[in-house]
Amino acid sequence: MFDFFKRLESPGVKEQSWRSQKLKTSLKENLTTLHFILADCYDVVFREFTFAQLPDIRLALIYVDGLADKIQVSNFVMRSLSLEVPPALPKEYKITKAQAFDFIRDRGLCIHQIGEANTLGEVIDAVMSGDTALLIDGHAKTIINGARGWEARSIEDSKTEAVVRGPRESFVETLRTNTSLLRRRIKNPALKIEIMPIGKITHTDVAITYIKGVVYPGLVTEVKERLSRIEIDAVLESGYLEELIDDNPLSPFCTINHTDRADKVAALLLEGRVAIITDGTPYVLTVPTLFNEIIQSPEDYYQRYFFYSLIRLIRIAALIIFLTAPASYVALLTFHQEMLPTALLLSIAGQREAVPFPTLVEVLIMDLTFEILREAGIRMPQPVGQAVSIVGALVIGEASVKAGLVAPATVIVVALTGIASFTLCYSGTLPLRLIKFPLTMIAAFTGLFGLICSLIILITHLASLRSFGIPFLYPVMPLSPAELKDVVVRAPWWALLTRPHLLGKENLHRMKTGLKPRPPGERK
Amino acid sequence: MKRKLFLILLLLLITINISGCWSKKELNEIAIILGTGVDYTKDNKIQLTYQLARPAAFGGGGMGGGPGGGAAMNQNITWVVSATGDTVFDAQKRLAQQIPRHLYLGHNVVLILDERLCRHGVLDVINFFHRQPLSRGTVWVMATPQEAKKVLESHSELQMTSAQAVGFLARLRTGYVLRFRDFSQDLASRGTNPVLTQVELKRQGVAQGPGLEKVHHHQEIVLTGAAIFKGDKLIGWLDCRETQGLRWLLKGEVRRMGVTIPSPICPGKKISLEVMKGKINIDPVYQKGKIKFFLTIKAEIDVIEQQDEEDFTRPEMIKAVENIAAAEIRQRVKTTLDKVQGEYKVDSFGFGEAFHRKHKREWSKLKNRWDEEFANAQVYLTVKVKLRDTGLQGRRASLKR
Amino acid sequence: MIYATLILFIPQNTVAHAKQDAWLSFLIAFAGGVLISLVVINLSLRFPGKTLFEYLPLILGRWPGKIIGFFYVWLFIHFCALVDREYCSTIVAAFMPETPLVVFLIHGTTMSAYITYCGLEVLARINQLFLPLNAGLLTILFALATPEMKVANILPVFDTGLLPLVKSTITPLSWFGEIITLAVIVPYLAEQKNVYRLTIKALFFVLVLIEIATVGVLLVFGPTLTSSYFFPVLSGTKMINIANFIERLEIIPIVIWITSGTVKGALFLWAAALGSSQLLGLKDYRPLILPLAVIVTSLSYLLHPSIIDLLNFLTQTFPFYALTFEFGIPFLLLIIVLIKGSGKK
Repeated sequence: MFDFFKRLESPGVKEQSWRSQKLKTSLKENLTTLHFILADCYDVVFREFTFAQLPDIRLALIYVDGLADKIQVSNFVMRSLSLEVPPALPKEYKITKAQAFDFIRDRGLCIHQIGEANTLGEVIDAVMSGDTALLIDGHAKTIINGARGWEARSIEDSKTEAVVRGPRESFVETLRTNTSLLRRRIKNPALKIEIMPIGKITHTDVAITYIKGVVYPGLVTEVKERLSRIEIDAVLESGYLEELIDDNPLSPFCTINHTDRADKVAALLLEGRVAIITDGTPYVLTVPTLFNEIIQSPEDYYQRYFFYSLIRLIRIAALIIFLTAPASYVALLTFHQEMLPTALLLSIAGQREAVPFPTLVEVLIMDLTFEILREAGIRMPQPVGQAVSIVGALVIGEASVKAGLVAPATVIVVALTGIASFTLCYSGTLPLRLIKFPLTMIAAFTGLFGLICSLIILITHLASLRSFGIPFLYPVMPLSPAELKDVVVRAPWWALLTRPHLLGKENLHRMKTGLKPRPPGERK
Repeated sequence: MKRKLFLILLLLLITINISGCWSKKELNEIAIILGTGVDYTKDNKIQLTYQLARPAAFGGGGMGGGPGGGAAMNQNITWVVSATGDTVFDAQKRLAQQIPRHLYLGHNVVLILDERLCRHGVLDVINFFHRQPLSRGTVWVMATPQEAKKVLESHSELQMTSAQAVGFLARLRTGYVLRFRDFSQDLASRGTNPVLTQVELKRQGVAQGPGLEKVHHHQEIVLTGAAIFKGDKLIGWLDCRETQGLRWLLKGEVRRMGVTIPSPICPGKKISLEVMKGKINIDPVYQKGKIKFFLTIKAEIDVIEQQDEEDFTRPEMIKAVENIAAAEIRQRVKTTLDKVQGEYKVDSFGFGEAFHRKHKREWSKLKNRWDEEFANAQVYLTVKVKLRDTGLQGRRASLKR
Repeated sequence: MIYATLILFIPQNTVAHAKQDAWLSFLIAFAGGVLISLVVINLSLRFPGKTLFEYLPLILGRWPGKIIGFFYVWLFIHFCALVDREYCSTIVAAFMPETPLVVFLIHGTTMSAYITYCGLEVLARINQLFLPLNAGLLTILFALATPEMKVANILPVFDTGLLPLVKSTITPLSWFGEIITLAVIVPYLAEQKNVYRLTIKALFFVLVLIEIATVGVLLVFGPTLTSSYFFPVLSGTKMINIANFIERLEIIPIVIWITSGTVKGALFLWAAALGSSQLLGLKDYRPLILPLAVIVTSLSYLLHPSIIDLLNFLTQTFPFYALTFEFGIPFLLLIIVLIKGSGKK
């Protein structure tokens, strides 16, 4: 026994030999061991008490203060075991010590989720996840009460993807809440949620979610395989996983999208994708990801399709402007003045006359300023927000123009670029924001030729990417003309008959044909 | 190893890029040419004149005190420079020594050639504008009896620069205008001879505004007719009226042309009509070595103004007006035709092209002496006019009776 | 899916000989192109799954086959060099006269090499994007130029007579003959059954594009002026001016030239790399791309001192040299196969 404690001297993360250790029958011994393992864990509560039915049976509850639902534990575990006798019990019924475990499990507890554990590892894991362990003297196993309940952020609007019309709920940090949000949308046993703990120290729960019968089975296997490869100490956010299961680790483009919108994840699942929910973060990964998701928003599918088709086109235009506007501005102004209309050229020439920098430097300065402002806007403490925006808008824009340091046209181009990026899916724009800078520089050194070359290389790179086996640029490259109706425009629901072909080949049709509303007389 | 090699290559590529801004020209390093003039000097040299924009004068807001459109008087918006040389390029190289910026031809609006040069032959100077990658086919080409340099030294009251002003004037097509592409095409073709727009600097209007009291007379570039070429040499001018006839003959480019006719009921009074649509059909006939052209002009016109009380609700009145208008148009075309065919003896109307299209075989025999053949050709003219609309009124409201 | 790759973009500066009837000569050249592709596909289908370089030794015997194979590798390298040179020269002459040509060549070949490195599938995918893009841009370009067009410019038809017409056909025929690349692509096509139909469709598509460009330019400039310009399409674009705002659209022809030139260059580079790897018995063609790209760059830089020399070569020497490989050798091969009865029927 002393050998055992010796080995337990430092219950750190490296040495966890006790994990597979079986529980002893003696409560006292068990408690001593657990006390040692949980030494210096101030938030762990040990509560010993006597079983009301049989006073010589000692019981002990172990839980983490703040993770377990104290009211449930005291009302439905402690109260029923230490004070009340189950009233339906015949008087002559005498309980023996040997029966205590089954009796308590079957008749003594008013808790829904109950499990058993008989190794120290299981007990500790359960307690650390918020369950309450009930140790019974004389039994080498425990009852795990799933009475979890901790302070959590309530469900709020999505902060990153706002909509005018559409569900407001977004994911929170708690995995269980997140799965419930999905289950509420897809009330079908085909929605599978498989749990896989990742992280040697953090033991983070990761849920692999998919709809059986819609998703291509090979995809689920592939996701599981990639996730099970991971051996890491901690997973604090889904971004850890994202980079560990990515297809293209050396590309600036991330081929795994993430979102905190429950309705978006549900829609993506229904297209045959797999969602990876990580405990502790509202951001859910969805694979495979296509490049066109950058111009799609959940709201597109809720509002009238005519206008939102226009919005799609506007987003495509914004994408192009965002990526190429500063670069083409520099190229046009320094190499290809003949391509601007005369009046425009004269006007810009007039503005630029007093500017002391080359066009490239001017654009880079403004672009950099914009990026700094944007970063400041995210990072700054809320109360100073106003100050920064005033300084940003007035001082940088107005003053630099007034001082003749920057041409007004440059400010317009850079501001337009910045605004254009906000119409797109935020995470998707990050690599493009990076690429914008070299693109601008190349354009300043080799003009439109260099710009076009760079764009060709960019497109080639994008075309060579795959996300979980699906070409990243699908359905544009490889071209699937019929599916452009959900990319270039948003076709009405009665025309979106199929899921994306490469993703949803298991179950292609999402609706009956001929659903287009007609007057009663013309219905078939 | 492979990755290192790749990196080295990449670095090399970037270095090549950065070190080589060969063609780069910042906007403040170029002098934007808006108008070009070429004169043939008395000592048989070529004088090249450029109207350069002064960008500082075009500054928008923020620069403080940028001028508006009409304030050209107060601040010089353009700078007109010229130099002489043996060729256009020679002259330009001399100019380049005087101007601290790269001369930039990409935004040239107008090319003005003076009479001496036109009479000498324009092929000497045209080639430069063909070869230049920056020069465009949309440049308006014009001939002037004055000195091209003087014409370009003008300024405009409405537009920022006189070159742009004449460009906009040409775009409105109120007179006969020609672009560089069409000019080159006509020069190259055997079946037609080029005709250039005639421009002159004329006193026009009085500038209004504080500080402008002293300047009473202001000169603007105006379209004053057309220049008839034989090959690449000028042989004569057409005045405004004759140019109208020319416009009928050149594929009916007559939209918005005004026609004023005497009233059918009251002598001395007039009716003004506007041509809404005009078409000319050229039908060449070759019979026994004789060339005949049957021209059919079809026009649709609107009544714009009347001095007397013609009632256009009556069909016979419409008929009468149509007939008089047809006669008037016929007269104008005839005058031009007589002058060009009879006096100058050149085919400026593309009749040769029409003949080529219809009589391929005969053309190859005639093409080398086409102008002589054309001078002897018979031209038969038919004009058909249709009155289409009478504005907002059918007849006058204020009837005398 | 890969059939888009078949569509090679053919440069437009071949309107010199036929004047008004240039568009007719393309029609005749199209017929020739179809004939060549029929021969090539027929050969390929007789040796299913094998490229030109693999079945050459089967037909001619080991060493003669390999030697002819190396000639073809050279041909593809040369094609690639020419394509790169063409569009780079255009840009130098028309847009950036101060910049050394070699800079553009290095960029162009690097792009082609990168695409080739990514493989045939990526090449095909890129083409799927660029092809409709280019076709669309070209159509828009000439739709915008319609106000400048005069039907009279292409009349009368058959003006120059039969002989000049046939003469002028030879150059475009050699362009169409570049469809010989099919001999390397066919084994990689997904739908072996429809190769004939797809190829003819692709050739027809090319024909339509060329006709749009040729007829468009002729309508704008007329034959005399057209043949005097190096880059009639570019000059035609400069004429566009709608409402004084839609003007100066030169960017469109540049985009068309660079994108189509790169893809075409990449295709030839791929064929050359694959061919040499197969002749040398290598498993992967990728290591060969870099040396080949260097060869291509230097070739295209050194072969022709000026753009005039290049155009002369393209119109006078190139057709006969190219047609030997594009038509002569495949035709002979087919005859040998028919006599020997080798391959699959």
